[in-house]
Amino acid sequence: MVSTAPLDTINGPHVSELWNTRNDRERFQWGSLALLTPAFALLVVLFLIPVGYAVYLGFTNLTLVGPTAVHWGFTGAQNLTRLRTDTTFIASLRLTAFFVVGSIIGVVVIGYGLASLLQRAQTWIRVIVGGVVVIAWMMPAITAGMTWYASTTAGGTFATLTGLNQSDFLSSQPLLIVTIANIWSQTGFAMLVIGAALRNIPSEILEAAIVENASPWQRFRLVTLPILRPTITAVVLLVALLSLANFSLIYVMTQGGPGNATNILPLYSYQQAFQFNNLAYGALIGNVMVLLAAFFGVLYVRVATRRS
Amino acid sequence: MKLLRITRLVAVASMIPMLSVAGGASMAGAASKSTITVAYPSVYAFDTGPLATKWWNQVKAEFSAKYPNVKVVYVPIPGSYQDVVNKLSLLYRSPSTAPDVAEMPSAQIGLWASSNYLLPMNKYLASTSWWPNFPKVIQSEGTFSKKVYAVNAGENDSALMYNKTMFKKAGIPVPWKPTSWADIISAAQKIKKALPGVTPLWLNAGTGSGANGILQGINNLIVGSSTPTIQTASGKMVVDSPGIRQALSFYRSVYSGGLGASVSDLFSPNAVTDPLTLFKTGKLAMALGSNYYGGNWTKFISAPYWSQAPQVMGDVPIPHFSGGGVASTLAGWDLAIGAGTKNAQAAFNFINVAQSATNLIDAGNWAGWVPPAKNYWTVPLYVNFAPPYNADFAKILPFATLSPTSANYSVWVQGMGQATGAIAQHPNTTVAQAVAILKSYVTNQLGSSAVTTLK
Amino acid sequence: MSEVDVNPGPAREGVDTGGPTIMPGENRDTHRTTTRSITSNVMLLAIGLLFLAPMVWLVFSSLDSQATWSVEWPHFTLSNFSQVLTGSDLQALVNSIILAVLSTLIATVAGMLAAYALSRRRIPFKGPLLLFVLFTSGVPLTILIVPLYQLFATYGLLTIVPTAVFLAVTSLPFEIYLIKNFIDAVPEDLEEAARLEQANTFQVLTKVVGPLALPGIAAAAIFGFVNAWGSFVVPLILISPSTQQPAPVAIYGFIGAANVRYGDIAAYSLMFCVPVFILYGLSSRLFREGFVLGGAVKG
Repeated sequence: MVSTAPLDTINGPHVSELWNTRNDRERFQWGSLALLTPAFALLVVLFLIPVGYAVYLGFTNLTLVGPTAVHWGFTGAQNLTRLRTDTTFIASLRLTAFFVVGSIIGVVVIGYGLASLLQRAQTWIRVIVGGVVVIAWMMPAITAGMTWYASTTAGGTFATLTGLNQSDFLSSQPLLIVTIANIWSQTGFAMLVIGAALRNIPSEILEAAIVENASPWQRFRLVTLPILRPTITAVVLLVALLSLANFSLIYVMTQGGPGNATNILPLYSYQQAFQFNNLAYGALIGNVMVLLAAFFGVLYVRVATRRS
Repeated sequence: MKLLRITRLVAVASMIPMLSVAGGASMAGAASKSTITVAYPSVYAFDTGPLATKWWNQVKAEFSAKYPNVKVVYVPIPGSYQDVVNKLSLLYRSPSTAPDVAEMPSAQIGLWASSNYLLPMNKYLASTSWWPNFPKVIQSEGTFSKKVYAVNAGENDSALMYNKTMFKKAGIPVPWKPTSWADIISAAQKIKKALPGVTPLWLNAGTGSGANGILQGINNLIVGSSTPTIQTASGKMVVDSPGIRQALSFYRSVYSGGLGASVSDLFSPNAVTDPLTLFKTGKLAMALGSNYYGGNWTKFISAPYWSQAPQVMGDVPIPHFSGGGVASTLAGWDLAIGAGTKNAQAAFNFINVAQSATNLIDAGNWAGWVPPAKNYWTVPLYVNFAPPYNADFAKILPFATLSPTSANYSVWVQGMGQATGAIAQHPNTTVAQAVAILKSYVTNQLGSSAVTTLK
Repeated sequence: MSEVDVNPGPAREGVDTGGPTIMPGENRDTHRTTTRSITSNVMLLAIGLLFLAPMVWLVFSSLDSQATWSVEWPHFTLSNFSQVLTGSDLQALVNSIILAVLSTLIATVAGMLAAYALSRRRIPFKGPLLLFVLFTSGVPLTILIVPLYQLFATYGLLTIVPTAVFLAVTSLPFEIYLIKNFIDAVPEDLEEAARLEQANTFQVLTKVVGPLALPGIAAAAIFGFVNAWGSFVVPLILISPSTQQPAPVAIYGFIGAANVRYGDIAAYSLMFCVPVFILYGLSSRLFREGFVLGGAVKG
């Protein structure tokens, strides 16, 4: 069997950092404050304070315009009650779940596939395919959205390629298409990161596994996967957070439609706050998004601190 | 590069009020020069961005010549309709950024007035020559509780646009004079039989085209139905009524009979203006169209340029459900004064200059609007810009009906978009099912005490 | 750069290690490499083409004088490009560069300092602090805009530089997290050696840790750049003067109430992607060196 001894030291030091469980760390240095100040000053003033205010807004009756735009106040749990019976919100939760989970799976699987395939490919293919995928990642959301809209509508690229010229993939399977578009725009980063982690797998371990007659699947499961686990967990977290916050891509492609078919939480929050004028209710939906992000964060820590 | 220099100057100048301490423009100071800030959509309202800049510079030049002691600082707002509305709302929230004069969509006036962002103009209007020439319905557009908060600068209305050549080929007598919705359906059916590759009727559906899609689509039918009310006097949204059912039934006839456009076209983000190109390329026979079609086809605007349009395309008012009549919605862009302005008289003087015959007709021609004053409708500058459409759509204006202007209305729009979208995408949707979609969505969002059914 | 060697050793007597039959003239090594390589290459090309497919519309429409949403063989023209690279649209591209560069600089420098401290130093409540920072990035930007607008309006900050600072703040959580992970992977012995030679923190950062964690810092910087580059809602709301608006806002200028200039949109979008291509080109060398996320350490 393949020894797992080297893996502890690989996962160990990094992970306990998070919880400061080591006793041989240095004492707190005041110089650390100087290092932390620029970032945290910016974060507190320009981010945390507005975020706190936005969170508070979720429990008020503030509107964008109208009488309660000027005279507004705390309304306690009123918005919460509304949230519980809001069928559009509940549907939006389901849509968001599909979108986020689908994106995570797509990005990790395709990212890993590309990374491992790229290792064994010719240089020119590596440069071109790697380049195309990374360019897709770097494309701004507006351009990506318009491009995908044009590609998946009737008469678009995919319709022409599959010969079904009048089929409108975007209108018939909107959630699936926007999820694919999101995967397309996020895979590049995963590919880069997983690729680097693969390159850093010590060759001796893999050779040892081969010598011990491990099959490709066993090699993957017992050697590659454990070593990649921190990387993949980090990628999962990033994709989850970025997908959860995805607004522009879907807004440009479908505006949340047709009907409510792609009305994930960020879009529903925008719709409530700006189209329907309910700034406070939109902010509450934003609070739900923060909770979901926190959930992913906590999940990440659990997985990352679990020792293999 | 002259344009660049002007806009740069404007940009630098517009930064000055931003730097002033919250509490208002303190530019008056010791000098006799006062300043007014004017906010307007930089690309959305006019047919093109450069035309917008041209018009606003024209007005500024005229104003500055007449009132040299007042400085005008422009605040152009980029983006599409919703972005302009959002930005204006935010501008008004802060006293230091609230504009003295703003160009705003008619649908939002009520909301901003109820937030006390706007200054009533009744006393200034008494002495103008143009205000009495506005039809009553247009005057009421910006009037709430007898106070006039905004004056119209250009209107949009709707009528049926049809391809005369195609109609002749299908055996429909031209000029076409439908007197009921059933006439429209039968014409569409004849087109479908005679010209199979052509979409018979363009009818906006779905949520993608937003409030504009509803305005230029189903609302034209509802205002001509037996119960045209969308929002009752007490503010409740009507989610079921004979009129709504008549309109949805019309939709069903169109889409289940294959008489409408494809879902892909209808749900595209710019669906509302698709007919302009579809007519030109001969793919469309009729549309519930708008007054700006004619202007867009001219060489001056070229969006797209279609030189044969006046010969090929005819227009006729949309009839009521039965028995003739003229049905159309009405919406436009208005000018309003900020409630916190320190220069109310100067602000109104600016509006007065903007409302001159030349300026308003230029705006109408360059933005695809009908000028609001009756006596401007026969001025050659307007009529000859896009004959015969400009003159024809002006005649419809006095019969047009305003749409509601409350926050709840946007929820109704979304619900109606879902109902019409369902019919267009799944033509077997029954009228009862479509009504149920509208009713359940709006009730879920607004609560049952804010909705009502009419008998 | 080390290739992971997946070839087995020479075939052993009586042991079936699986795999295809060896042809005469081949040994096990070359056969397996060739088959694997061919399959890999073909699959890669297929995936690459799938990724390329959506971009076809962009290229075709930018060259088309009668562009629409559908992809058609273009009526070739370069006028779309010449139309959009003028006047205010060109100014918007320049504004985008200013905005993105400023934002990236602020975020990466502040992020690097914070990441180093969080990685190397003892900070109380480090874990919860990191998490808190990370999940607050879940708040939708569109909601954050309203209190932020009020703040900026009150202090007259509705211009390009304060907006760049805010965009930097939106990238900060991810950048700190990314850079910290890379710094974690740098062995501490080098720093200890430097400190023994009386190096101060600044020198340690710039001469020891920085260069070693450079691929990670570059990745974070690129992330921050792309984030600011593509931002639309934030500049639209927070920047008042129209001459300071960046490119994404200008793209919406091609979508009027009554007509849409698709060719211009495509051409402008392509131009808009160019600085980002350049960035990739410049940094691909860095990525080629390989970088680490999540603590995998060689040897």
